[in-house]
Formats: sequence, C-alpha cells, structure tokens
Amino acid sequence: MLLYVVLFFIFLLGPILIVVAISFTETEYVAFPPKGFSLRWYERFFEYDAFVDSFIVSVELAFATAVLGVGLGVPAALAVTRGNVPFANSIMTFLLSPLSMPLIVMGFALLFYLSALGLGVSFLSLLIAHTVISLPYVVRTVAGVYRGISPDFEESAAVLGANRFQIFWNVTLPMIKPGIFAGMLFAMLISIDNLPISFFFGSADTNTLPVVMLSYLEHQFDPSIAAASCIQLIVAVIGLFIVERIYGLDAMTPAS
Amino acid sequence: MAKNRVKSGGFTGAVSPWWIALTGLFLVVFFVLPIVNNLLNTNDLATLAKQRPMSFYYHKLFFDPYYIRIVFDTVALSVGVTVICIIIGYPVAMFLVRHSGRWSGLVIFLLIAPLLTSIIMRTFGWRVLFARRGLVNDFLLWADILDKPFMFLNSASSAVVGLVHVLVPFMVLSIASVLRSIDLQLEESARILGASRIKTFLRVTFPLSLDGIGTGFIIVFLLANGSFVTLLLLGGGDLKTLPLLIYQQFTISRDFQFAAAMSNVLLAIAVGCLYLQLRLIRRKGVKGAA
Amino acid sequence: MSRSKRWIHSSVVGSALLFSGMGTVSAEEITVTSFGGIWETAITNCYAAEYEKRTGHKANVMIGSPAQWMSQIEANPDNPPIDVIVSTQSQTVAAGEGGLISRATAKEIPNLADVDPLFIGAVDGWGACFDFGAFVIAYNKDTVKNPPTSIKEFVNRTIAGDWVASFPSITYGIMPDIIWSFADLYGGSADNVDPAFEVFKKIKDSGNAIAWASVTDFLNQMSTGDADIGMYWDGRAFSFIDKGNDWMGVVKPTDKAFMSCVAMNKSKGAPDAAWEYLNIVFEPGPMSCFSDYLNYGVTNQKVQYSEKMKDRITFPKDLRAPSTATSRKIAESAADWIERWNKEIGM
Repeated sequence: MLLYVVLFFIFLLGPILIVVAISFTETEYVAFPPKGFSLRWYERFFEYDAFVDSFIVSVELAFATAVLGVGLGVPAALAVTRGNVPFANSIMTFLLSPLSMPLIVMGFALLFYLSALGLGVSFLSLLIAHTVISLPYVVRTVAGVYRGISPDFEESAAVLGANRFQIFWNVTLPMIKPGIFAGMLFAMLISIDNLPISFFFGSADTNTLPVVMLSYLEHQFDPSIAAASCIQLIVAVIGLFIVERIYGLDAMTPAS
Repeated sequence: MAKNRVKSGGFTGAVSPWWIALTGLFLVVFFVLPIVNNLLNTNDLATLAKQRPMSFYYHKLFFDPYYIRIVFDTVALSVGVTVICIIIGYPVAMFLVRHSGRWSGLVIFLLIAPLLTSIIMRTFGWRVLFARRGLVNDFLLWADILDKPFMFLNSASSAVVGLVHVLVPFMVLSIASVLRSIDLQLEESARILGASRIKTFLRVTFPLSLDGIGTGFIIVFLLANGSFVTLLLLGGGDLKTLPLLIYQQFTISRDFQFAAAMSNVLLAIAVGCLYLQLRLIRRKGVKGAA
Repeated sequence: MSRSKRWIHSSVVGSALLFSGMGTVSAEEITVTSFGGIWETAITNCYAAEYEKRTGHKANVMIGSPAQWMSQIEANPDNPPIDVIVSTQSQTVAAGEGGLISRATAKEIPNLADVDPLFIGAVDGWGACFDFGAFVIAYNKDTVKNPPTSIKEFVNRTIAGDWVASFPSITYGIMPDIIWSFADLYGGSADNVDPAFEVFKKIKDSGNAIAWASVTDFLNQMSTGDADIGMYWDGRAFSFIDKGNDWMGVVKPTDKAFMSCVAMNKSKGAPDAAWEYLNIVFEPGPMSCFSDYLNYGVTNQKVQYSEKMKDRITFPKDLRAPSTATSRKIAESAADWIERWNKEIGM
C-alpha cells in the first residue's frame, strides 16, 4: 500500500515539479528537460506589465474577498446553526448553493447582469462575483466548527447576564477563530486561482493573474508561464507557512 | 427545529438571526437574480450574427445530434472522472486515516499543496508530459507498450488525466474525513467474530464510509461539470463539453445567445445534481456535514 | 489587543488602504491590444513606448485575440475595458457594423492620408489596415529536403504522408479567413466553402497533420520536431529565422498565398487619447520600427523599406486578399463555419 501511495503522490506532484524545472530553461520555447539554466523567464515576468499588474490585482482581490466573505458569512453561519431559525436546513442549503453552480455560468451571467446594473467591468464587480462563490466555503467551515463547540459556554454566559454582543465577542468568537481563519484561507485560495469568473471581467485594471496567464498561454506558449506559476506558488506557500505557524495545519483541515 | 430549543432560559444564539437576512439579500441580488436574468435572456445580445429566437438554440441543443452528444459527453465525462477519483482516491484516504500515523500532517500537506498551485500550472505540466516527445510517450516507447508516439494531446485521455489530477485531492479529503469518524471497535468486533480482512472491509468499513464517498462524488462531479480550462488546454479537438463551448462562444464565435442557452442547460444539469444530493444523501439536519 | 482583535483591526485597515490605493486608470492612460509573440514586443517597443514618450502616459498592452476583446467591449459599451483594438479585415467590419468601434478617417488620424487606399478600402472605411502579411509555408530544411512550391502541392504531399504538417486550429482567431482562402483556392467562394472543408477533411483523415493553437505553438512544434512543415505567417517566420534559427526555410507559394491585413481601431466609448496612439501607429517612423521587428509590409506609403525587406515582402497584387464584400460575408458566416468545422473536422 505504501508503494501505491508513493506512486500516487508522484502522480500528483509530478507535473508541478516539471513546471518548476521548465521555468529555468534557457530556450525560447518550452523544453523538458530544460536546456541550460537561466532566470530570463522570471525577468520576463517582471517585464511584462500585465503579469505584475494582474498579480497585484489577484492578491488585493483575494484579501478583499476574504474580508467581505467573512463579514457576510460568519454572522449568517452562526445564526443559522444556533439561532433557532425556522427552515434552518433550507436556509443553509441556500447559503451553500453557489457551490453547485458551474462557475462559467456564474461568470457569464454576472457579467451581463452587473453591466446592466451599471457596475460593468470593475474591481467592485469582480469582488462581488468572487464573494458570491467563496461565501459558501466560509459559511460551511465556520458552521462546522461552531457545531463542534458545546453550547454550554454561551449559555453560561447568557445565564450570567451577558448581552448578545458580549457573548459573541468574548465567548463565541475566540472559540470559532480557527474556523474563521480556515474560511478566510479557503476564500482566498478560491479567489486567487479562479478563472471562469475572472475571465469575464478582463480589462487592464481588473485582470487577475490566471486570466492573463491563460490568455498568454493561448497566444504565446512560452516558459514565462512556468515562471509566473512558480512565483504564484511561492507566494501561496509562504502564506500557508505563515498560517501553519500561527494555527497549525491539522486544526484547519475541515470535514469538507 | 423545536428539538433544538435550548433548555435553559431561551438562549437563542450569539448572533441575531437578522444577520441571515443581510447575507441572504446579498445572495439574492448577486446570485439568484443574475441567473434568473440569464434564464430570461433579457439582454440585448446582438452581434453581426443573425438575431434568432432562443427557441432556435434550445432546439439545436436538444435535437441536433452533435449537441446532444456534447451534452451527453459533459455528463459522461463528469461521471467518469468522479468514478476514477473514487477508485484512485479511496486507498489513499485509507492510508491517510489508518496507516500514516505521525506522517499524517505531511500527507495532508502533500494533498493540499497542488491546490495551492494555479490550475494553469498543473495543466501546463501535463501538456509537456503528454507531448509527442514528452515523458509519457518516452516511457511507453521504452517499455515497448507503443511503437509510435501517441498523440495524447489530441485525445480525450489527456483531459481525463488532467481532470482527475486536479480533483482527486477533494475526493481523498472527503472520504478521509468520514473514515476518520468510523469507530475502530466496530471493525475489531468483526475481526474477533471471525471475519476476514476483506470481509470486514466490505461489510463494515465500506458501507460506513459511503457518506464520504457520496459527498466526494457531489463535489467532484460538480467541479468536473463546470470545468473548461483543462479541456481547453488538454483535450485537443476531440472532447467537447458545454463549458468549453460556452468559452468558445465568448472568445471565437461570439454568438452570445447560443452561449446563454448552453449555460442554462449546464445550469439545469447542476441543479439536477443538487436536487439528487438533497434527496439521496442522508440528511442529518443542520448539524450534519453539509 | 487580543489576537483576534488585532487580526480584525489589521484586516479592516488593510482593506481600506487597498481600496483607496487601488489603481483606477488615469485619464490619459489607455489600454491597447496586440497579438502574441513577437507582435507584442514590437507593439510595446515601437508604439506603446512612443505614446508614453509623447504624452507621458502609459499605453498598457494586452495580449489576446480580437474576438475576445470584442466580447469584452460588447459587454461594457459605455466604459470599454479596451481602448484600441487590433483585428483582421473581417473582424474589423464586424466590429464596425456591430457598433463597437468609431469611424476613422484622415480627420481623426491625420497619417491616414498617406496610407495606400487599397488598405483603407480593405476595411470598408473603418480606419485602415496598418500592416499586411502572407500566409506562406514554413519548413524545416533538415527534414524536408525537397520543399513544395505551391499550396496545392503542399496539401497533396501532406495527405500522402511525406511529412507531419501543422495547420492552425479552429480556435485561432484568423481561421475563418483562412478557410475562405482555401475555398477560394479550390474553386469555391465565401458563399460556398465546401471545397475547403473537403480538403481539410482529407488532411485530417490522413493522420499526418497536427494543429497549432497559438502563433508560438507552431514555432515550438517546429523546434521540438513535432512538425516538419506548416502554414505560417511570412513575417513571423522571417523574424524567427533572424533570431538564429536558420534551419527554417520559407516558401512563397506560386498559387497565391492568403493575405491578411490587420487594422487598429478606437473602441466607441474610449477617450480621445486613443486617436493620438492611432496616429503614432500610422506614422512612418514607428511603422518602420514595427516592420523591422516583424518583417511584415506596412501601409504608410512614405515608409522606406530596408534591403532585406524588399526581398521578403510579397505585395497584395500577388496575394489572395478578400474584398470588402467578402470580408463582410466571412464575418457573418464565421460562427457557422466554426460550428461546421467542429462537427466535421474537429482539429
């Protein structure tokens, strides 16, 4: 069985390592095994304005999505789980429903809808679109963590006379922190790698990195894609490493 | 939901239920309405291509054999990829939960790491691997399985491999989380009572893990259903699905009405799947893993 | 502050800062488009750089395909995300009649006065083409010792299996026009493209053809040996050879290669600064800079070509170029041809 698992992980990680290798090739074209060693494709990444600009947009968007997603998702998740709300099941299903929608349909529909509303192709539109699709991840993660916490703590606080806000701030919030954090992380990951939605909102200041990379790949297949991918990977790994330090990875693997 | 009512003092939760209204409103305005808008197709989507009534497009999608094939392929591909993920992923989930011990953190990290990379990066890697002079062909030639390089990039096989590669971590994690909660004592009891390892697995472990397989199935199916990047870069001309056609409408043919019709059909498939999920998967109420 | 408070605080402050510092494109900064590969280098160095030098504002260059840009403009007509769009003849006519671009004459773009009228007529008055190129045959001198001299010979020998040939895939933006050129070559027309489809069916069935999806794809295929020969743009092939790849050879087919000319236009909702950029595009100096990079012919009659170029350019009279009416027909039929291609051929 161990052999099988090892092969499995070679399968899983192989293509990624290949791309890393390709990013260092000296040749003009994509070569594997790479010929020579050169950082020219990394230089190219920084030279091609669209790569850098879109990378910045991607990161900004990811953060904004996470914040908005948490702002909208956490209270709703808490309320549905323990608020004695009628039809709680159906509401939860509704909150999670964007998960089931094909993203390309969402992107297409949102583009024309938001244009009709006057928001058009703008950062705000992108933010709204990304939040809609990451909201379910936040809700599900936070609800899952919240469910696992005994209601006794909150009840005791209530009995002792704390008002709603105090209970939330001092009792609930600290306990669901890992859930919020995991939710934010998911929202950011979903947003940063998203293509189908971001694709429809392409313009000089709303292009995200995946969109630019796809366009580049389709029209100019060269190793700078490999370099761009690696840079994105490095940033994501650094982010994950920071998170691991603060919260530990195991605590965050949700029952997803 | 009366069973949920707290026994002491009418405590109704740490947040006011009105917050749901806010989030709900957000979703209605920015999720439900755009889809409805798309369904009704009230946009003035005119290009130089002739303006035709929507019924023309739906007729095409449901009666033209080429398009029927595509709708069928969309669903078939999703199902096929999902099944492969189950078969490949189950052993890994077992390993993760039962045999990895102190390595479990590393295993989880290795599973999640690919999800950190851009889907473009992964697909790009497969393109290089499947090239006429790529590693896969080199290996197959060396192992005498082929005597001429096979054009993987022009066949559906590369797309299937690419999709499985992207989606299998989701399957593994879904199954693993349910496996984790299975009480080992149940298996021990079965062994003590004389069942063989295989029988224990088939009669005890597997049925108890069905829930995880079910969750994983839904997740992977829906993701595969909506994916187009993998098919765009790996499938060659051979395999076409609805998401890919929608993308092509937007970037090449520019028949937006057709794209809208296709997106509605795709949506119907997804909603159908969601409905099945609600009916078939054992619901444990709000407390269960959604 | 407790940890959670600190996190919330910094997230809020952080996002506020992000939002405030967010790039909104300043008034005279424009977004211009370009095809991929060497095109992008040329546009950036010859035109965008010049625009920045003269106006002090940036011209952001975006790679992509005309159809994609047209879709984006169409979804957002009042505030188009793209200010200057590059497109082929048929696409320009489609964009013009679809209300996506502004009419352009010598009034808006003074340098148009020096452009060969042939290229103004080619796009029915919607501005003018600024460069033109021929779709010729490029081959590997090492593996193809006896290259074909005409397109028909090339096609026949591909079917016979003399080599592995690479053709553009249907996802390539200019493919509909190329389909027309094959129809024209084999006795059909824009109204009857059956001859083209028959030929391509035979090519596909022979199993000796692969497809290139992007302009650099072809160069990759030739470099790695995946393809021995293929149809490609003369300018790009020459640029590639100039970079040191003298193993590649170019054949100017005797049976009239397809001529494609590319136009640039201002999208309707774009600011007037775009006219400034377009004027630079048609100016002799920047134009010959572009021509040097790409080895394509350019359309301002005042441009002087260098010696090497005189040998390389094929002029319109020796090429197969669609008339305006034909361009319009191509634009109207493109979606249908693409669908038919997907059904019958699939490459």
